[in-house]
Amino acid sequence: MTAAPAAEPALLRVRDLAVEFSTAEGRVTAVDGVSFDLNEGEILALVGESGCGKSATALALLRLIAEPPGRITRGSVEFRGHDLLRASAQEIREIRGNRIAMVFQEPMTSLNPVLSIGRQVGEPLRLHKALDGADLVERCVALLESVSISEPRRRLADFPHRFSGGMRQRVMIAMGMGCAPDIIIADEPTTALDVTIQAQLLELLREQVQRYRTALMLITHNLGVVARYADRVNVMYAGRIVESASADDLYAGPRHPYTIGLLQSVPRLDRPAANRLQPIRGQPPDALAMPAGCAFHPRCPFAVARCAVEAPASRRVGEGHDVACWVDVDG
Amino acid sequence: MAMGRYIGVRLLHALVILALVTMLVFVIAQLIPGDAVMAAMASSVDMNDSAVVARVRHQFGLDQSILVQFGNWLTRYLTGDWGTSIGTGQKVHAMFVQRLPVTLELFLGATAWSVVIGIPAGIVSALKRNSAVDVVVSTGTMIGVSIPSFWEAIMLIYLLGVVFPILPPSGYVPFAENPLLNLKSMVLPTFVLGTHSAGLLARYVRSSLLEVLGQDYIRTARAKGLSERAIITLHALKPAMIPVVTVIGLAWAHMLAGAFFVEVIFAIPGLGRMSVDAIFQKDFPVVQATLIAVSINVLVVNLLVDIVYGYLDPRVRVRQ
Amino acid sequence: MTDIVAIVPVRPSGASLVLRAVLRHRLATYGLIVILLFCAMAALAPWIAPYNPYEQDLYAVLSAPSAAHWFGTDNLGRDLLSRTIYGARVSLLFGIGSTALSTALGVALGLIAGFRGGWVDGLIMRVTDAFLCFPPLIFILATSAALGPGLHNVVLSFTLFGWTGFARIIRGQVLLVRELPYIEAARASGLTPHRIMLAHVLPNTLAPVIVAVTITVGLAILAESGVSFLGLGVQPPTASWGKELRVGFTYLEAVPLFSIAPGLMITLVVIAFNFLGDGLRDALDPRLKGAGPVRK
Repeated sequence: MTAAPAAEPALLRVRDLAVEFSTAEGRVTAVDGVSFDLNEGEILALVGESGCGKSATALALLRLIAEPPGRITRGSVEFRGHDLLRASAQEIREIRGNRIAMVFQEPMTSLNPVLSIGRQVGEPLRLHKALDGADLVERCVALLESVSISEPRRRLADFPHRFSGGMRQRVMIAMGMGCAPDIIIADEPTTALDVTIQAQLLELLREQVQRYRTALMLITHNLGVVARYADRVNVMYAGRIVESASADDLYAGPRHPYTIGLLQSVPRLDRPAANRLQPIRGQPPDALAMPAGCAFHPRCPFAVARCAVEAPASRRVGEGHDVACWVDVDG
Repeated sequence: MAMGRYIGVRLLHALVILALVTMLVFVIAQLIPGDAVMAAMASSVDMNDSAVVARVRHQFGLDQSILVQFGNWLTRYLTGDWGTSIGTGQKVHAMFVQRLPVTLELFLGATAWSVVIGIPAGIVSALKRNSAVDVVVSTGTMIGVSIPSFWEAIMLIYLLGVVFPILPPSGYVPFAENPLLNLKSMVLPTFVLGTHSAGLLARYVRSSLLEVLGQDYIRTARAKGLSERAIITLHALKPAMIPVVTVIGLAWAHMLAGAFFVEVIFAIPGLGRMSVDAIFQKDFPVVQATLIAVSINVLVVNLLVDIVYGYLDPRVRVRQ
Repeated sequence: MTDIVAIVPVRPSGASLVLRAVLRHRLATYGLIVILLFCAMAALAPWIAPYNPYEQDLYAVLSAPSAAHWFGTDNLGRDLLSRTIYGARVSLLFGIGSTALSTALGVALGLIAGFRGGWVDGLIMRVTDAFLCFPPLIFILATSAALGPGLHNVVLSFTLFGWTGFARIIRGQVLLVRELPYIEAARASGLTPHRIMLAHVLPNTLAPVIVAVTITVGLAILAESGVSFLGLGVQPPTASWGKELRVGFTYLEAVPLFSIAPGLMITLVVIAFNFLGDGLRDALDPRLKGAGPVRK
């Protein structure tokens, strides 16, 4: 996959990233050679079903994969030209929470229950910006305000259990934005929340990144969210990126059978009501027993003989539009 | 103020349980086969003379209804009259006053040992999980928890009192009399008493810390760029120590049982030894007072633990 | 019955899975081997022991270890090795016996408390609270003393106290499991509460109880030896590890080996049970939450 047509080099260049996990039943390749770019101020969505490796990809970027069961086996993650996978522990710590921040999926368990919100929100600031005392407090109040938490000054002393799930996620966003990072990685930030809260949070996230020109990597399985908020989309299946395009191009003309299948199985307001939903037949592959060749071929209505033998390389099918498929399919 | 109400509720619970316990103790005393007082009197009184028996029973209030007896007994206790020991003839509360400081010193020393050994051991074995250090510590804690305290005492007396005579094998010297000798004579007893708790603590600390380290919020802390050491000291230790407080309280509450053996073996004139003697001599006033004192001890410690818990874990103050 | 099984989701038989998981755990396996060895020693005592443990040789009182008496002799000339081997019988019998009784009583009361709820539950729980105010050994000691000497009294005392732990565990598990959907399904199919309790709830609450049983046997052995050490419990001339230790302590300087052998036995057996308990706990871990149903 190549960079978007912009004069400046990509902010983040991921090349051939691979992550493995050792489980009781054997070794599982969660991420199998993923490559993509992220540009400044861009909102990039990483879409796929549960278990396709999108969360593992996100964690690998900041080297947050738990080392005993997991391992980054190959690849490079270049942030402003500097490979994070080969950086020293000190260097990666300086980047985490500071230049690249992460918002996690589970607001209920991602905050330390015995520390106050103020303590936790202020932590990156204290650590990376050496803020202290009254300055720190003011900055924390401002951050909570910016994510629409009422009575921010009073709330600083509160503990996480006094906040609802949606509010905790706002706190997480505030915590992430604190040091004005270049990139925010949001791993399914709204999956655990109600639908109404989802919309609010995503608007908030978009507003934040637009204000500070932060790049946003949005990881989700929700195609509706992708359509509304993403600039570019990478579709993942069984640990690989199968299609990469701008959001408009993807929805207007998907080229990979999986993407086509996904879009056909989602109800859309702009389609005639007579059309039936078409689920993708078959089951996602067993991580321990991956099909040979293209991982999707057992379920693919367009599969040819070659698909069962060789895994397809990605090829360019349009401007900024890449597909990993042997067959030329028109969505 | 959430904390105040929390303490108030806990205090109320404790008092209710205390009331139940006193009733339980009283009832047990009544149920024991063989009338204690009669047994004590048997030597000096002609048991076959029913008039004499009746008079003695009346003298001790044994012919009144249970409820009245309970009432009398309760009033006596609350005013500090805990009866007279059948064995020694002393006033029971006087015996307590005499021996409490000794046992207290034993308990405090043992708790100190257990905390000083147990907590660091648990932390180290959690952080260096599955390494050689972990194996050594785990083996040590396993032994500490399984070894019978009286055997450990005997072995240590043999090694450090007979083979290499560094420490006095037995005997107690009051602190006021000779501080150095007092401490020397308490080293082995407190260590033996603290061993079981140390092992228990280490295991709890280890599993608690490991559980905390697997939590999502630790991953969040790491994603913020904190060093591993900062993560442990600032984010992991506080939540990990919460259940540990309970264990320390539990260990203290149960220490009296171990104190029995330690005081007997090391010839320390404390409450434990007094209780053992009283039990064997069927000295019921003393046994009764001991059971109540033990319960009070447990309840007070549980209350303190709850209070500390409320301070450490803010979620607890809301839940009732 | 077959209809009901069709509704309840099915999983491969628990027992063999658990056994295999335990055996994978090395320490637990050691524990199991040691326990089996001790059981063998206890069972085969009459054939293994070189001497009759009650046979007194008054010409060889308090003798040091020798070819004739590997562990030496006690103050009545009895062979210590034989007495140590026979001592295993008392400890294991007591340990397993009193634990079995405590478990039976505790599980029964805990089931009732968890299932009936209301004032029955409240009453049983307050009683366990009151009992748990006392350190176990004190209670057992006091009760043993009150009841008089003899091993059966110690068994009784231990059971009187030991049931409380099991009752709490079972009750907690019942409360958890009782709300699970498959229990509602069973109820909706018309099973009587009695049947539900025995056939569906009980199997899924047993995991923490099994762990507690192994730990309790260890505690029981410690309790018995402690009580015997102080003079209650088994009466002479029966051999018990606790009793031997008492003798050993009295003659510590003369025959130190006395104090080592019985105590070492106690420690090894208790450690073995604790290891086994740890292994069982790890093996049963996901089931500890009462997560899944067990195939009937």
